Amino acid sequence: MAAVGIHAIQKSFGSVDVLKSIDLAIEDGEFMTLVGPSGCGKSTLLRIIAGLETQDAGSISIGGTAVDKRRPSARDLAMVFQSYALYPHLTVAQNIAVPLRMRNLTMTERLPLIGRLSPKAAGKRTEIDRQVRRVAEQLDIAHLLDRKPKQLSGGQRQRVAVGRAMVRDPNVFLMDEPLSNLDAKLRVHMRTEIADLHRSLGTTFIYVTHDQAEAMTMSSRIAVMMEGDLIQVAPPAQVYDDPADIRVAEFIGSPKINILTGTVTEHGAVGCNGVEIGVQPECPVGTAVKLGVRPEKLEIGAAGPGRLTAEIRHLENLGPDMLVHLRMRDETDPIVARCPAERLREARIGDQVGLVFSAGDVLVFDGKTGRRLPSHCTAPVQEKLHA
Amino acid sequence: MPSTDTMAFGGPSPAVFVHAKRRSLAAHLTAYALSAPALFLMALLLIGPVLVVLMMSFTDYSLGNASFEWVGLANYAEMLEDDVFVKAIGNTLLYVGIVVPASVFLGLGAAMLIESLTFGRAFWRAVYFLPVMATLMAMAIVWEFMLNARFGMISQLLALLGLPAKNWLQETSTALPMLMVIGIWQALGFNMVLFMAGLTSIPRDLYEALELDGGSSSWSRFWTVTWPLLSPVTLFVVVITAIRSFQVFDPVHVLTKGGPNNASMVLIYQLYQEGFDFFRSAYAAGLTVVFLIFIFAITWVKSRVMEKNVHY
Repeated sequence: MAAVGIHAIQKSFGSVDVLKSIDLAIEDGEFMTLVGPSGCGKSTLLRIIAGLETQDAGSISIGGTAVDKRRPSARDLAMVFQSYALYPHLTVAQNIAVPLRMRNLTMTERLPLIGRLSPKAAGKRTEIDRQVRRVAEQLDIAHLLDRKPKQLSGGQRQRVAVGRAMVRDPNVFLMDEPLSNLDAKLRVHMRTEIADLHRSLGTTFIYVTHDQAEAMTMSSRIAVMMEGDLIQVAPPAQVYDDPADIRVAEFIGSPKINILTGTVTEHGAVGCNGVEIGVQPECPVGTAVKLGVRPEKLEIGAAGPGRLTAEIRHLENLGPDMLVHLRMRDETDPIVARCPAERLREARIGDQVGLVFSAGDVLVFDGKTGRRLPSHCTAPVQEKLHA
Repeated sequence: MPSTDTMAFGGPSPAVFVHAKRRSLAAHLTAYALSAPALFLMALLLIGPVLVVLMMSFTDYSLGNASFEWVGLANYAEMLEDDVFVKAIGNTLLYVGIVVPASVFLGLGAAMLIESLTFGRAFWRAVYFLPVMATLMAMAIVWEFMLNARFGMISQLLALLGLPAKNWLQETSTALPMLMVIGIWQALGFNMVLFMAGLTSIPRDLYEALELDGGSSSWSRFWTVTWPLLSPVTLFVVVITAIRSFQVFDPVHVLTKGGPNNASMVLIYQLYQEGFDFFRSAYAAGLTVVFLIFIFAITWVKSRVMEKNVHY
């Protein structure tokens, strides 16, 4: 177990700056998820931590010691690859045993026939077999030990890859999109298993994914990366409720957050589509801003004066909830509201409806930079604005 | 379900039954008709000639003769007594036994060295592949000049070192080894290209996984990943090289004519001599059958090994 420190890491491939000076402190035993759209540099960062890629500048420390000069094998890490990277010619048992064989047996002891001669090696081999069996039982793959990777399903292969990573009690677990090759149902199931595994091992996990749902459900903290920058590092709830940047707000959460454009009026509030909304951002009058409202904070009411109106374009029934797709005049992006299904019995496609939300649920972002602007409500928070 | 029941118990609807049977017969006929051209050509061009050769080996036919007698196994009996044949078989096996492992391992080595280069790969690939593209006849003549005792490059180099000049291709002790060197030189490039294709198809992930698993030496990289994952390619390369080495002919014909004193006699060259110099067609047919037995044996071993071990 160890903390991982990432200090001012920079990396370019040719003229492309993949990582622009990343600083991140990962605590001992933490489940840290690096999340971001593809091409944001998250996998490169993980590979630099592993030592598979060399940084152009900056330093990586594991357990307080700088490891920049160490080879991957000397960093005491284990990694689960997106492709699982199982050795196709070895059985499941042999695959899981590789890290132990490589570290605990000498080169001569690993040889096919000569290696059998030494009595000391025989003891080590029994110990390796015992370890492999223990891990296999823990992961529920003991019945597959004699099979080759080709004979396994995707989920089973994934478990073997995890088994190979955990057999040796490494300092840190690195996972590079380990669930992206699984079908949707299995992915949801494996999320729970990996979170359980982290709880039972207590080891530091660094997990790379482009799937915000995986990040939200498993992590202790999430590091959101965009275009080579680290934009926000915070626990899942904070990233969701209190995003530091419009890109974070848009990336985290499904369905996506609704974005409305507006301008700060003379009263200090925000004017949007001719309606004044009761939030007061800390910026000069006339500033262009963007307002973010999560779909579940948005309700549908009757259309009326002083209320944002929109037309219902589509209704998606999710069972308990209904996703209402709306189109507002002058707004190019569609708006989605997530409402309890029973409240929408009357709603029909083509209806003109009013948007109802509390000013306290509105996130204000700078229209140009996308940074979050501190704001407070002009109306009391409890009171639903326009309600 | 009902229709199969009717069919199985010969039920009340014979019309359905007959119709189904006729249709399956038609399907069979169609299948045969469609494969007939290929079968016909295979019989005409492959199986037929082999059978003719096999039959001819039981006769005393000579090229140009109007008739022949059946002589049973006399040709094969003669082979056992024939010193040239015994020499040719021994030489051929020795040639295969040296050229195959040497060209396979050197080819693998060259492929791995060239793949590990950061630049100049294309140049070295071309250098090693050149002998494969060039006509072996022409290349044999180049070798003849290089090995010439008086003005050959190799003899001159040896003379510089103060070593005696030798007529490499005309001496009993060096003629066959020289042919082997040329054989290795020629096969190496082809094997190298096949290994290169094999090397690029090994996923990089596996090397990275091994690196994290603790296998950081090039030795463990080779034994844990490269060699096992190349095994399908290796098997193919070994078989191809073995078959081609059994067929060694061009350099023998151009450079040594099997001599001196049959020191470099190989199976195909003896076959050629018997068939086209001495016009003993029946005996040559017998030699061809022996050659085909070797080729079949290699192919059989290959398919057995392929079924058992090398599948992923």
